[in-house]
Amino acid sequence: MTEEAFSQAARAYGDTIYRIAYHALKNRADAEDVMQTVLLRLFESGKEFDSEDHLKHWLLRVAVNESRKALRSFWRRNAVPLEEWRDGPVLEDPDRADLFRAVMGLEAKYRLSIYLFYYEGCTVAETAAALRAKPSTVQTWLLRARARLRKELAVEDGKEETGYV
Amino acid sequence: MFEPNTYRELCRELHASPDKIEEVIAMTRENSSKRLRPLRAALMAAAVLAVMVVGVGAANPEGVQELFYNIASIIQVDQYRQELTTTDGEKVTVFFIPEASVENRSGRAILVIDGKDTADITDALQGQGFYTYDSISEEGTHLTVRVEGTAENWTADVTIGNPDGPVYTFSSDSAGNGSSSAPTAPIPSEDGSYVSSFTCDGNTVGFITADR
Repeated sequence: MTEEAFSQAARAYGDTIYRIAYHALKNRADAEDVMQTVLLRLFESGKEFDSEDHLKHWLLRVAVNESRKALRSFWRRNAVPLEEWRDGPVLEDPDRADLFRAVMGLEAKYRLSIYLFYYEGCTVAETAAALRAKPSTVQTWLLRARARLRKELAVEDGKEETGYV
Repeated sequence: MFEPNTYRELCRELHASPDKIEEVIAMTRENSSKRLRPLRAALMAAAVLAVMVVGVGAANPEGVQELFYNIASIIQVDQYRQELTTTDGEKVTVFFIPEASVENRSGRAILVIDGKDTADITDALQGQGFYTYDSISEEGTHLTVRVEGTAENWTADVTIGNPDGPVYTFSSDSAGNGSSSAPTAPIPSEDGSYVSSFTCDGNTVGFITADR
């Protein structure tokens, strides 16, 4: 990969990698670290890709792997409160805030499945490849994630309604 | 109600700092190790060295700080050791501590070192109560990982160093606690060399031996 091709790829997919890492790690600093690591791996791999799709799916897989390594790391277990998410979008709209909080409150595998399927437009098979899981497993994760989100967001809606006496 | 369109709008608002992307692009254009630019994470060899520079500069007295502002060359000796030479000709050895953990997979205890499955240590833990992983690189870096306990409740001691020189031990456990055996402030020895640990985000990630 030439320097120019790498620069183009970095600018085109940097945010994609960042979003995956943010969904896994829930904070900007760690997500940007993973993004930089993945881009360096791309540069040093010397890989030639058949198509943009090939490149994109390679990056998705590596971003997931690097995010998982960061999740498992000793320092992260000590240093980061797992239930917090920081430096995300500014959410003044309460419905949007509830939705983002609900997604970030899911387990990492569910968050990543939701992100890859709904935002990146990956098929179940492509999501499974990125997450190194079986397609049937990803189907189950998506079902469970949606069920939990429905429940969580219904509770939030219920809280708003009971706010009136 | 989960609204996919609303979720997509939210995700569109998640952006990495453009500076961080440009930083990586700039790094790949630089071809000299003298001009390594610091990254925060310690996941690649170049990134690890840069973090070490930042971490040591922040955590150690001036005597050690001076070394890392005048690095002339860096040689990656093996997976866990780098040899630095300053512009004054001082030699500095840097050891990087691999992360060791035990994962419980379907009742089997798997020793994982730096993210790689290294050994199934279930039988050793059940039989003797401990397992020892030992390796010496071609360049002489000696790595030992000793695990005690069970797949759920374990401690791991990672020892690294040269057979002829000082060794350093980093201990961790299944609860996420950790400690190191080397002092955080440099202590001079009789021959004028000194040793110090360096940190990333407050956690010890390696040890430095320098000769004056």
